[in-house]
Amino acid sequence: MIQQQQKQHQITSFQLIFIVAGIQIGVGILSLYRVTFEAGAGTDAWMGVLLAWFIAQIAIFLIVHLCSIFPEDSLIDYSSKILGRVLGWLLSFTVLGYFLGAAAIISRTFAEVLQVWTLQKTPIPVLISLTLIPSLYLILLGIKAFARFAMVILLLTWWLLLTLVIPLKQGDILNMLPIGHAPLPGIISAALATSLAMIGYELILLFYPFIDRKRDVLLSASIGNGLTGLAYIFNVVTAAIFFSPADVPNQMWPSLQLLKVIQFSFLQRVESIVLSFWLLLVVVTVAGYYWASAFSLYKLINMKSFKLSAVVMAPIIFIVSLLPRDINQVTDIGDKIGTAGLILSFSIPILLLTVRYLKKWRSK
Amino acid sequence: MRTSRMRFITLNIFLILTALLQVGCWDTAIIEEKGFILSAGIDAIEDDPEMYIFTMTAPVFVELATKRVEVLSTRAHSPLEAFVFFNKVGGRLYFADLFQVLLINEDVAIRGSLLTKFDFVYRDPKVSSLAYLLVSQGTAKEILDTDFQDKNRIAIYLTNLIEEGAVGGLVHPVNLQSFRQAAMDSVHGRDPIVPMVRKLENSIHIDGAALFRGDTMVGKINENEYTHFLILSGKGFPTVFYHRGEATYGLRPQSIRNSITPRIMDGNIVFDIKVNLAVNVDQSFGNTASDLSNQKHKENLEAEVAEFLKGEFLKTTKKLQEFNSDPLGLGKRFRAKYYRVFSEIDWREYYPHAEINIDVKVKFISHGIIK
Repeated sequence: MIQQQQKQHQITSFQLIFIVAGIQIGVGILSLYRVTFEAGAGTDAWMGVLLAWFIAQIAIFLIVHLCSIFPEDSLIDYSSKILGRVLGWLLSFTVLGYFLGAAAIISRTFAEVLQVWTLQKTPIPVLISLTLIPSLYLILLGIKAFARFAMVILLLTWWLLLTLVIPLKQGDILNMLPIGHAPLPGIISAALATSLAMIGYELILLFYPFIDRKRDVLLSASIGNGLTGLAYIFNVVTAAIFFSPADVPNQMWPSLQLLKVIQFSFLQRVESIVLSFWLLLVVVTVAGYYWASAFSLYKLINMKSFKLSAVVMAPIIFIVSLLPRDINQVTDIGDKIGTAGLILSFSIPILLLTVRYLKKWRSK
Repeated sequence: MRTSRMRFITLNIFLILTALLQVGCWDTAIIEEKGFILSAGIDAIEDDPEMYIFTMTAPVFVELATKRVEVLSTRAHSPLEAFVFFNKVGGRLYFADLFQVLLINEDVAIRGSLLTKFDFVYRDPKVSSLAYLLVSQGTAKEILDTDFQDKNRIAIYLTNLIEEGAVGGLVHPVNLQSFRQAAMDSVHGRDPIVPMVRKLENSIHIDGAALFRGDTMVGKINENEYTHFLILSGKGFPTVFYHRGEATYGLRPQSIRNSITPRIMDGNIVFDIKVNLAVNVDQSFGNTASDLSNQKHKENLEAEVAEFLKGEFLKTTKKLQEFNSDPLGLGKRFRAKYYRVFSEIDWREYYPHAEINIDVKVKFISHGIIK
């Protein structure tokens, strides 16, 4: 029955490209250069991003390999099959908590950014609703609608990258020279520090049964991840050329600060226009994690309706997003969520594949 | 039936939510009640190093007003303190969203720590970081308080002066953002250079430039030296005058190609600067002026001008080294090539003694329609 429903809600492997890129590009990019710079890569931050892209690619490979063993099941289904009922439930519950936390923290982070940059008098709960309400509406329409939305939004917002050309022209290439002076541990730390910006691909663990042509999943996810990597590298290189290395640690959101130098006689504060488009991208990210948490809950406790699960999750995500005290705590928790995402995207496939192969080997 | 009812309810919920979120739509702004701060100035107070005179100008929109610009001044420790005061006395609500020019008096620039003083400006995302920065000889208040009758409102006049000057290649504009980046870069071997202005009887004159080390002014170069700096750095293409006997030539660079190469020779830091200038001869008068259609005369003059400019460029770079200010970013170039050496030395100790070699090539590409 569920499988029949799943067939009705299939997404194409082409749409998966936009889903992966759309979920990855959220709020992490706004502080990407500072985070990688401070992690130890300095002006070689782009190398850290390149390495992060490569790490994400390995994780995608492992995840897709795991999913391909159970093409009609999601992580919540096969984790119990492999690990047993209790351990499987525990793993699924952890994953549910992670998805819930990610949706909440991304929504809250963007609310904080909006409040600082444009809507200073609007209360944080209202700003959180700006991403949560459309996300709820979107996932109630089903995964197909979400996939179409992600595709349309990415096609509508890719031009935002072009706005970086202006600060790029105003920068000084000497700012990012010499290339390659950061030590290898610094580059590795930077790659790990980008985890909040890179996560999103791990949702394939849940999306997989809904994708029509399973053999193209690896390629689609890799293209999506590649698009994200390119966007991030362009962003980081622009910031490296624009900012004096000594000023980078002072900038909360270098990517937005870059846009402050764009001004036309008929239009000022371009960053507020960009932020309103960015809201759409963040809705894709929040909706992705929201859907994942609602779907996990629906599967975990065998709820009758996915829509009910989605409605139940809404106030929980909303309340969790209000828990951090201030922007500093939001940033800290965001980093921890990113690290958790990175750990989960490697540990889940490695653990499940290892246990499965061990079981297979023992049964022989 | 049930679906259509659900859809109806959902639609209405969204309608109400949208209406709630759109409260700003009936919020009108009466322009006469808004004070748009377009320019501001900071002057030093001699007997109190912690206190400054802040001046701001905002256009007046009231039809019957006798003045075009409202000028408010106060003593305060910081721009924000002054801003709060202006809001208490102005009778309008002031905004710095359209801020265009910040004028700082020479003494304020010499006191230094400008980045700390401008903290409010950098911290508030609403304040335009593209506002131009100028250093004034004489008080900023005097310039901002003057109604230059045949000119635009002061902020627009100053903005046009910089922007049109930049189009003509006479000045390299510095805004709050670029000043911050250059000042921050001081530790990496680059310093800001900010145009200086002086008030004449009924106008404002761009009169050289202020040299900084970090965010503190350490010296200034005159109009001629600024002209040479602009060519040397490739940041402008101002007209250069060359006198030869009774003849005077006006030479306007059409294109400038330059390269700066650092090297280490016998333990000394050396910079080889190459400047290739393609110039238009816009003026050639006097009894001894050469016939520029004569190839030999032309080549001789090109060589003479190149030698003259080389001497001028060397004098200018020497002056920059004397003030230990590095607006050409020589340190940054050295850092890019010799990162390890740069990290181990104190650049500020080495910079004044660095050897600078300049090679200038000049080519006349046009002398107009007269020989």
